[in-house]
Amino acid sequence: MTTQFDIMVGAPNQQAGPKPTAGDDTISNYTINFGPQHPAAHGVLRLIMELDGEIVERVDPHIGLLHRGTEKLIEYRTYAQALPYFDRLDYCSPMCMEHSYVLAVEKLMGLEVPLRAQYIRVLMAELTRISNHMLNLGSHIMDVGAMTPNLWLFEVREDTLQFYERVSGARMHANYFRVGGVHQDIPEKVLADMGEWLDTRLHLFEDAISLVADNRIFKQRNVDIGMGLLWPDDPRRRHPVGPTQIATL
Amino acid sequence: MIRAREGFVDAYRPAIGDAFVASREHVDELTITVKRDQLVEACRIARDKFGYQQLMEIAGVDYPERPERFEVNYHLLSVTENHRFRIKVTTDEDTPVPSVTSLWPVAGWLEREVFDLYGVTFAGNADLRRILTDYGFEGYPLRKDFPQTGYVELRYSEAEKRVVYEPVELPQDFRNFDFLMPWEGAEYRLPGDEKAVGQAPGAPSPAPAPSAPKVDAKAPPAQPKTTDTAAKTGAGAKANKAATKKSKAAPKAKGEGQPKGKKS
Repeated sequence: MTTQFDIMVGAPNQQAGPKPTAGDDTISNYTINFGPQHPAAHGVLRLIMELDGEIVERVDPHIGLLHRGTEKLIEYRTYAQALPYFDRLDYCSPMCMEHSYVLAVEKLMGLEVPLRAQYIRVLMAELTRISNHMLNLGSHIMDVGAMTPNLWLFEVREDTLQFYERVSGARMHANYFRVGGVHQDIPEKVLADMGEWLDTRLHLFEDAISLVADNRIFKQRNVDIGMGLLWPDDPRRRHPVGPTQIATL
Repeated sequence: MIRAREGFVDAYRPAIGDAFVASREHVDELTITVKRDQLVEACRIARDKFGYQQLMEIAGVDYPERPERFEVNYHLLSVTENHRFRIKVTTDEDTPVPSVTSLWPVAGWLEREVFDLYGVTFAGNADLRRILTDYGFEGYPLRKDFPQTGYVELRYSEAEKRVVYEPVELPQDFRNFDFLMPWEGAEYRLPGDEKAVGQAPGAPSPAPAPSAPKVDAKAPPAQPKTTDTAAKTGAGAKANKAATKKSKAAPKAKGEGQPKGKKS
């Protein structure tokens, strides 16, 4: 019995030469384009992938499709005018980006920020972190196949965006922090509601995670996936940041 | 809060020898300038002997007025010492900077970014392609002499059924909202004021061309402006009567002799 490999379909990187016939067992890798618009991708990312079967051997990511030249735009603006751009850099955690920017400007100017403004900024940045993680976890869970947790986590996220709107007037691109403080004080009612929200609404998060944390399918698709990339050499030379960096410590 | 690392400069400076050029500490941020050709060794010493395991960022800076106009800043992080500092080298358009991809593989991406945006080349980077700009992009957008608007714009051409690039065309002037407080010495030069002084011919707001005819506002125009009389246009009672007269082909007014039979 002869084994037949059907390797011609759409494979552009086969060496020129005689067409492989039945019985040949040389198989070249398969180069495939992914994106830039793809329903499985978040945002616009193009990947040129070289596949060996189902294993991705090499990836050439084209990351520039989401680049908007913010640095160039800010060249032509004052520091105060540049602030709204930071909402849009990481639109999953807008106020944290504003925070990093105003902290840098304040450091350069040697400003001392009123204590209340510092508290408000940290409070809003932590709220942003919750909303960011709801989006991250929910989308990730949905990417590996579960629908319901995402819907529940988005309810929590929607609540945080309501708080955004009540302090800044905008749901996402808040433009709330200022160099030296914040734009407006937080109304007392918002603070009270925030405390009540923490007591009563975060069970949604527990519910959502309880669906996946011990779930067999979720673990099959997540445990020990993708770690190989960082381990072979010293992982820190691969420039991990955030949770990935903590994973290398 | 990242604290200054006690005695770091005093230990690092002799370790890298004559590669050291200058060190500056500003707002708790340490910057050490090193010689360009000894950059890799200085980075290796920082990584292996001083515990700066991570290269967080390579940032280009453009100072067009300097002879070596570009600065390349390497932001290093020590996760064990909880300290950051940056190593800085300078270069110009033609001189390549030695690549540090041998020390940190991530530098491949970061050097590609600096190359893409500033046109600084890196000797030893095997994959120095553009990374952020469009396919086939020309120019280096973060250089100070690159305009904010760029040079080409993109649109979908219905005729060619594809996306086409065209020279950028701006129907509105760039508006500069540089609002200074009046007591801080704002210079009130409104858009158009520069026309009052008249720059050289061909400048962005050129002096009026010498051949332009001079207009004397007070002199009577060569052809006096007059209102047309009825005699000239033919207007008047006679013309009005002619206009109200119905032609035979005109449809009859409503309600006048509509046929009421079954024919319609």
